[in-house]
This record gives sequence, C-alpha cells and structure tokens, in this order.
Amino acid sequence: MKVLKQIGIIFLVCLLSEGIKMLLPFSFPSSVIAILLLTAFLGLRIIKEKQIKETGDFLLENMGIVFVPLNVTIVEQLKLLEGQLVQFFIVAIASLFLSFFVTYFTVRFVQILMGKMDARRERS
Amino acid sequence: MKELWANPLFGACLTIVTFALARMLNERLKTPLANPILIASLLCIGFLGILGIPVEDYQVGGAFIEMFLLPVTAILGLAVYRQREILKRDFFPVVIGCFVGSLTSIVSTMALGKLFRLDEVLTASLIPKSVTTAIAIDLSEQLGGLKGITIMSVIICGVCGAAFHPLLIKLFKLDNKVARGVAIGTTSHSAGTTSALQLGEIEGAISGVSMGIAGISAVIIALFL
Repeated sequence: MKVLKQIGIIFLVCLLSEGIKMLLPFSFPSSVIAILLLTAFLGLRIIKEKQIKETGDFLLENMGIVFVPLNVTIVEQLKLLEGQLVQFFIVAIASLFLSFFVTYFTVRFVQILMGKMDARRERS
Repeated sequence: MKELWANPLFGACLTIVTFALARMLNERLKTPLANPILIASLLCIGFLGILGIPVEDYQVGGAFIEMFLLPVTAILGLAVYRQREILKRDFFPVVIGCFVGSLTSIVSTMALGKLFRLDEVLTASLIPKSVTTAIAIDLSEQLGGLKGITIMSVIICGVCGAAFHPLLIKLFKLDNKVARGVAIGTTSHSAGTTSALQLGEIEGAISGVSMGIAGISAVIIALFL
C-alpha cells in the first residue's frame, strides 16, 4: 500500500506538470516544471518527505535506466552522420569538456568573490 | 518467436536485466567509466543485434521504461529539497555558473563546428546538446537542426559526461561539491546527474537544479542566435 501511495503521489505531480505545460502560453519543458513543483510542494509541506521517501530513493538510485531505450534507438541515427562522424564527435566532446571546466571555475570564482565581499562587509 | 520480441514484457525485461547487471558491474569495478547506462545500452544493442531482433519490437517494451523519464526527473525535486540550505547559501555562484556554462557550450560548439567545417545542420543539431532532452528538441527545431541528431548529441553528452566527469574531478582534484554539481548538471543534464548522485547528495541535488537553470539559460541565449 505504501509503495502504491508513493508512486501515486509522484505520478500525480508529473501529471500536474504536464497539465501546467499545456496551459502555459510559451513552450517550457515539463521536466523543469516537475522539479520546481515537487520542491515547492515539499517546501510548503503539501507533500511531506516521508510520504515519498522510499520510492523517491529507489528512483534516484536507478535514474539511469530510462536512458537505455533511448540509447538503443539512436544506433539507427548514426547513419545520418555519414562522412562527418569523426568531426561530429570531436566537436561534441571538446565542447563538453571545455564547458565543464569553465562552469566549475566560474562557480569557484563567484564563491571566492562573494566570500571576499562578505569578509569586507563584516570588517566595516 | 516474433510475437515474444514484440511483447512489451520483453523490452522491459531486457532493459531491467541489463541495467541490473550493469549496476552490479559498476559496483564491483568501482570506476565511473563502467557507467551503468552505457553498459546496459551496449548489452541491449548487442543482444538485439546478435539475435537479429528489430529495434521496433524492443521499443514496445522500451517505451514503458521511457515513461519513467518524467517521474525520475521530477524526483530530483526531493534531492533539491534536502539540500535547500546549501542552495540558499550558494545561490549566485550556481546561477551564474549555469549561465556561463551554457553560453560556453553553445559558443564553443559553433566555433568548433566552423573550425572542423562541420555541416551547418549538424552544428545546429549539436548546439542544444548540453540541455535536457525535452528542451533540446525544442531548441533544435528553432535553430534548424535535425531532431534525431539532437537526441543523439544529448545522449552522447549525457553518457560521456556521466562516465568521464568523475574522472576529471579526481584527476584535477576538483573538490568543491557545489561547483562539481553545477559543472555536471550544466553540461550533461540528467544522465550526468546520475553520476553526480553517486559522488554525493549535494552534487546530485545541485546537478539537478543546474540542469533546470542551464536549460532556461540556453533557451534565453538561443533567442539571440
């Protein structure tokens, strides 16, 4: 019964986010709406953490499984890249790692900057 | 036999069994390169290929698993909620990091595309690669890319990120948990977040939030392209 309730709550939040997506006048991903909605419901105590804990932890632990069917079907798409396969991968991977490092160090930079601003504020 | 392959239970079973095996392997080998998503996908592709089972038959059951894409993304809200104090403290570094990361991803893709003389349609399809699939597809259409190629780019980034980011983190001693989460979520969205969660709940939650913020950033940036 417990798991059923928990799955029900999570599915309802998802259904709600799909509904909101349809009502919005602009295009916005339901996945982002869903995260925001669940965070808000938990924050406002509309849903309590213990009401979704076990199923939530199970889903968090096994998130990756939903990407497997997607991966299997893209094998067909590889044919569309004929002739440019190598360049395609180089651009994708190089950009990926560059963005990774830039993002990491940007966060660190802002954290340190704000730390210095807080320290200055405390001194004055 | 054909009826068995086209039975939704087959696709679902194959996915679940290969993923469970992949997780066991990952736990035993303890290296993020043994990424469960990658291993499970390769096992499925191998199984279907060896037995000559059409992908469409597998997909009947695969679609059932795909149905959990939204619930599995939504549940990141739980991870975010658990880390709310850290998020409040590091709000600006996270938001700025996401925006700069998205910008870097888009600009570097365009620049590298020109450098390697990549076909314009392929470049356009690659641009949204760092954001979550739903947003990526919308962006791709906007920019004149091909949906199928974009989905593939998103998956490549996701799986490569999930497999290699933890390695980069170890190699370059990138110790800050919040920064790790932002970097992973911004560049390799949900698939990367699965890896982030293995590093820690803070990294996982921040990665989940960053996914969303980076997605919104990409949409805004694309308005100016």
